[in-house]
Amino acid sequence: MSIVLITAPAHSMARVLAQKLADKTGWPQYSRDRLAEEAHAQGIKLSRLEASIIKAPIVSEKLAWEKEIYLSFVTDVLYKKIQDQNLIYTGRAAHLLFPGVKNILRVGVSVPMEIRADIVAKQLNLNPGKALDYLKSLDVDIMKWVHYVHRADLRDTSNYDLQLNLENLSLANAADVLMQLAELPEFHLSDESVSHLEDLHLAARATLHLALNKETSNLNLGVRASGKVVTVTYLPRQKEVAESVSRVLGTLEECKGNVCTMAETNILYLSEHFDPKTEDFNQINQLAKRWGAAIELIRLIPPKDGKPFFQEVAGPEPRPEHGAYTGGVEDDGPEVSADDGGLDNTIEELVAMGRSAGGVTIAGGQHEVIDALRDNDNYSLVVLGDLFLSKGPQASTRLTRELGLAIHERMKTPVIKIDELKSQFLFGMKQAFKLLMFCLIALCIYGLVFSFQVPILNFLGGSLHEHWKWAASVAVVLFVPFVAYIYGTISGLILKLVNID
Amino acid sequence: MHYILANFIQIDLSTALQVVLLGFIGGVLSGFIGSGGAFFMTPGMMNLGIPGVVSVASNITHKFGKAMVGSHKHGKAGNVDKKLALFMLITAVIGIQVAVLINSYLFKGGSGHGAAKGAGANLYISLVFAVILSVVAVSMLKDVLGSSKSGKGRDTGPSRKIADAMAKITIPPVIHFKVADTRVSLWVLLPCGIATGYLAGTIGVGGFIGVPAIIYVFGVPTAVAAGTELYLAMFMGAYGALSYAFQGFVDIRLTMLLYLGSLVGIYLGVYGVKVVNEKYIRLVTSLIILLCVVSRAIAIPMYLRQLGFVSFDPSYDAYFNLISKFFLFASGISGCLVILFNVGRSYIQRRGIQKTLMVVNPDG
Amino acid sequence: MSLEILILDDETIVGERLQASLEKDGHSLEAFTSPREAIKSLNEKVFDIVVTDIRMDDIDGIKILELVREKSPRTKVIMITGYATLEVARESLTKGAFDFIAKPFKIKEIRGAIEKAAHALQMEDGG
Repeated sequence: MSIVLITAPAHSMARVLAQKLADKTGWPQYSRDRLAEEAHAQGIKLSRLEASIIKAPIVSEKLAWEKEIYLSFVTDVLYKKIQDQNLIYTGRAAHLLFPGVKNILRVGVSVPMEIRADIVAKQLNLNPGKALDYLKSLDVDIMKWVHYVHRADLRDTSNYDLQLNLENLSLANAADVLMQLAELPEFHLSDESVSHLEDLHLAARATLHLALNKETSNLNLGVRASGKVVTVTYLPRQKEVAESVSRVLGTLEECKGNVCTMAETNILYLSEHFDPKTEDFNQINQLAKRWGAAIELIRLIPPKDGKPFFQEVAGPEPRPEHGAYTGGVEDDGPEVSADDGGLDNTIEELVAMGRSAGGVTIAGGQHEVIDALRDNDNYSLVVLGDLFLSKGPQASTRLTRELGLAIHERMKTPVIKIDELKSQFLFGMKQAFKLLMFCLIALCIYGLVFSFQVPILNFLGGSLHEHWKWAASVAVVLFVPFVAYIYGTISGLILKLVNID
Repeated sequence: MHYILANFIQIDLSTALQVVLLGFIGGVLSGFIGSGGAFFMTPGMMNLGIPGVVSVASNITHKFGKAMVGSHKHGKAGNVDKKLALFMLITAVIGIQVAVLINSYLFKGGSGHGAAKGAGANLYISLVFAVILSVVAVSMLKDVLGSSKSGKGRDTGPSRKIADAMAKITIPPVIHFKVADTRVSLWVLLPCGIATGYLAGTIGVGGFIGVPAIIYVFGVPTAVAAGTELYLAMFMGAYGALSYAFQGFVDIRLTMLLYLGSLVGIYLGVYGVKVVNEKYIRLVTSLIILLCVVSRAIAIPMYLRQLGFVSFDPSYDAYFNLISKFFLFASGISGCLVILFNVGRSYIQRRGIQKTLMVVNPDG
Repeated sequence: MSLEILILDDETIVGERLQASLEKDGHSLEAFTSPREAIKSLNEKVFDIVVTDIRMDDIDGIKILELVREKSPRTKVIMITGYATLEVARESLTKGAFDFIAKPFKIKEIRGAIEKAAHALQMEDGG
């Protein structure tokens, strides 16, 4: 009555272990090799995904959607392999499958390198040195794969229920251990886990259904399911597809209903170059996380040869229609400029986090940007990065500001420069300290004024005032902004703290 | 009402809390509407028994500090046309001076003792208040209802009709404002500035008139108008505060209590603008203002009686005061609640990732 | 520079499509669908570049790779496959493949790989 997911390094004895466990328990057993075969047979572009790991850099939105399709495929296939709530599966990152479902036994297996090298040397007919090289590179590749596909680190032990080291433990005994563990009540699927699995499966089926349907195959969608209702999230720029998504999902079996939604808030980030590793990007990202917003990127570059242009980052490719068989040799698509200022990379990162709202490159100036934004009023914040760099620092500042003003006027959205971001929107230790200090100061001021009301009022409008009219006026004019500044800072910080920016 | 000193009342806890609340509501409204808020706070304070001129003085002082902080931010964003502000300022100072003169004349010129103290100034402030704000509210309402009738087209920005007409007035000297990128004849500038200053000095609602004036009459971009107005308000506020403080009418305690509420309120109001659609903003705004006007109008007979222009049983004062207070608080509180409701709702919505746009065949 | 290229894929269409496009670039191409015939040709003559599918009914592309590396270390071998896995890709590279391309691919990808190979050949010949 258990699902056992075993993550094992390539070329280890893990499959034998799984087989022994299957023999003991009679549970169905399945492995990644067979899964991969099936994926290839079903036309999942696993081949591209796998090759992309070796041929760095990993690129673009296209593959990100392929990745979703692949994961959905895995979920779908494995779900169907479950018999009487039993399954043993071995793979590269098996323990990360069915994410979030409780009562699944997630096992990691480690096998000493020398043993694996021996196996490889025999299997692939390599000399020991080469075999070791091969394994080392492959392990790195697989780490990258897991990071890319599952957004997780294989070495993160918190994702496992059990780590087995097969250096000394015999396979038979290891299988015993697994069986006993799997029979514990903790690893029997509860009703909640079962319905969680069902939801994951429905979402997976919906994803595949959408991906394989011609009408919706070239969209980058987010699919979730809960209680037999599928929720599909699409990017704001794909507005017009909402209907086809609903129509396509309407033909999905066992789906009670579907909800098609658009990412509600967007942050627009304009810059001349992007880099997902910078602190700037990280900050925007944090903000997006807090707001549940997607980030759209616009790369604004000076017009080439004086000619403005507009280029959208390619979305997933439509699946080739049947009949036009190419043997896997496809015609070249439109040329993409080689240097994209990190745009592709950054979008890739965002896609992986589920926060991408797409991106474009615009060559031109303010006018072109406004033109491009014309039909989209879905931004809650516009962030201006480094822009107009070729114009020199002062003109760059001015042009950036003017662009900001123009966007603000056009879209009625707050526009902010990247360097203001932290101080204006996010709350850190520095802000906490500032808040505390300012609170103390405010407390002092208010305390003093209200403790000494009579003399102060006397000075402001009583008998004392008659002699000190000018002093009183100046005192008021100096004192009031100070109070406003202190207390204004406090209230701003407090509201930032509770997330009302 | 118990007075500590000549113009300053005793503030007990309940009064203090009411002033903070006034500040908060005023802040929410002012953040939401863009400027103003004094239109609520000034009469609200008068209803608490604070003499009108002290209310105005404390309010304008309050506004000064707020504008100083705000315009600093705007200045950094490049939204301030200092040249325009300078011209507006000079003219506005004349306006304020006129207002301060009239106010303190009426205040001191009253019979000077008892309940009638300041009644003249009160009446005058209430009258100006009622007239000006009725005009603003009604034209705003007309605008909203008109645009909702004319239908689907999205607002493309403020109408340039008046600005274009004004641009035709090219009686020299015509002044060019670089940041705002507009040309205005001094003869257009002058009355606008004086009127803004006068209103700011009288009822403390200068910005309320100033921003629309700058946008509609001069044809300046909204952001620059708001920034410049705030910059202007800082000087006008400073000048107003200085003048009133010189006259001895600024109650610093009230100003500080107002801040306690208003600065939090402003942030919430501004947040509200981000999440509520524009037509709704203007509708709510104009309705709030109208209710305020009603409230002030109800108080007018009371001041008339105190001045001896009409006669009825003085005990009715309490009822007038009560009803006036009721309307004022009703308008402010309900407007504030509507705004806060929207703020709260969108706050919760924002926490969720997506907004449902379309539900197709549920349970189908 | 004009290169001698051998293409081996058990699907006719792959050879056809590549031939059409690569011959335009001035290379001389021999396309095979049978690994055995390809091996025969490889035994007879030295190619600059060999492009081979990995999974074929008869003989594995990896075998072809091993054979070519043994016979002519100078020859650049480009592997193409619709069944790519990290394991196969790494194996190919470990065994001396010059590049590895997953199907479906764009023609420019293979052209790019061939250009790179040509460049590498030039460097080796020159240096």
